[in-house]
Amino acid sequence: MASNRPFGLLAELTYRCPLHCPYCSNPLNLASYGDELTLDEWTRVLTEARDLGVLQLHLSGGEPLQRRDLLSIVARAHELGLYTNLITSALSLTPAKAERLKTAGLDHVQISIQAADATLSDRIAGTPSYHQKIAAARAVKALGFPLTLNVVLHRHNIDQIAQILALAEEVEAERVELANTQYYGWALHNRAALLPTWDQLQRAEPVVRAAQARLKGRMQIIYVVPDYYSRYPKPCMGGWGRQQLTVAPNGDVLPCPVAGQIAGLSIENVRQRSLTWIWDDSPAFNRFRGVDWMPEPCRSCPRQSVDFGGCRCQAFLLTGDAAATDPVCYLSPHHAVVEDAVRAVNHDAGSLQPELVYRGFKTLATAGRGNPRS
Amino acid sequence: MLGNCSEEATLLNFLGWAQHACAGDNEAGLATHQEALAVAFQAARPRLVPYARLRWDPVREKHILLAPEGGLVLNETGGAILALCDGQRSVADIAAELGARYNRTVDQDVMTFLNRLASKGLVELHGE
Repeated sequence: MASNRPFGLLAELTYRCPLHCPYCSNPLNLASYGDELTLDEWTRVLTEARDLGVLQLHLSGGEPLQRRDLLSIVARAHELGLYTNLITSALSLTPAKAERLKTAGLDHVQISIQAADATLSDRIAGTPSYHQKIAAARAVKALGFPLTLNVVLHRHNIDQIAQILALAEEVEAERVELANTQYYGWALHNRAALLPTWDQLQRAEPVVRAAQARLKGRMQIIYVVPDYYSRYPKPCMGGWGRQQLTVAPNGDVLPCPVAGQIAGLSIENVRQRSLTWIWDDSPAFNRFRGVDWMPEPCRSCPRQSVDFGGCRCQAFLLTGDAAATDPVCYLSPHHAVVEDAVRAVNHDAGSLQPELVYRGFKTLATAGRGNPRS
Repeated sequence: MLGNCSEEATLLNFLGWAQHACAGDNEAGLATHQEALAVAFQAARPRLVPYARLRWDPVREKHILLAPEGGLVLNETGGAILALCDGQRSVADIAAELGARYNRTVDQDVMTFLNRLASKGLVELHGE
């Protein structure tokens, strides 16, 4: 039996979504996940998750509000004693719906916005949505929900960071997450158009630090820099199969939301196996547990207990080898692929403006399970 | 000293300023202010912030404090302290109740623990 018990479950209820954000980390082959788990199946998954030690449930997608049985899912989770967090675009989150979710036991709401003004936010979302989102944020607050505002940052909105913070303050969010895009799925496909420049990051940083100091005790500001600009990789998921697991809309169980993109990893499904077996015994969850799988430079690195070798999915997507050191690390033999991407953006920022490819079920007819790296 | 923490803290606060402004004794003034803070803290009636949830986890056999992102696995004392944070009992009440339960002085443990959780934004301290 694995000694670690998972703490959090990311339940991706559906990949259907009214937005078309080009920074989405969902897989490119969205249509392959169309055979969604039923309410009964989710109930079984949540019960097994609770028995396995899961305490925190993040209801996500896609857009979880697209599930007609969302209220029932929330109610079951609440009965099981799970802390429930709805991660939503809030596009159809009416005050009445929010109130029913509150009654069902929902603990926390996280609403994404794409920018600090309607024109840019709607352009990035690929659909008019900004005004509905702000109205939903106010409705959620009026019901007494704690609110996190989430803004995924990239080249097109990071210069608005002061206005974004002002907006979060204005809607009285308890928390605001300013998370730079992570380059998976659609975001990796659009990387050349999304990666911010060094100058943009240099300008954003002091604005965030000043707001953090000013709003201390009132609003928590989480700022995540793009790992492409970091010296060391992120401690992805707090380590593989260590604290978190993801269940995809079709019941695939993943150590991280992107792990389905790793070729050769045999992904198990809750329709065939128990969650406990998958967590404890499946080859996929054990593949990168601990430190024995690590190559150099991780194998002899004192940071292996800090960052766990970084992100397996990023290693696979950028080097073709999921067991390689995350190429973000400056010690990685593959670090040049990250340096090249950063250099291209900073040296050709004026001329290089590739078109954004918007997320959609039919956008990339030929997109497969694998790797969109160019 | 006065039997009323709030009045005692207010008086100590004045005394601290007097030591600082009239006697020119910064050190004594600061020490008195710190004493005032500690006394005021005894009178506070802590409770969990609305989005934090205290749960008993039968899998880990521990109390867990859950918040939007992540949670804290609590030891026995931590769980016992938070279970008494109902917005009605004062810090002094909680320390007295647990002191009686464990038959030892826990005042310092209670203060340190609640200060830490307040600074993480998980506990609200309300005055009398």
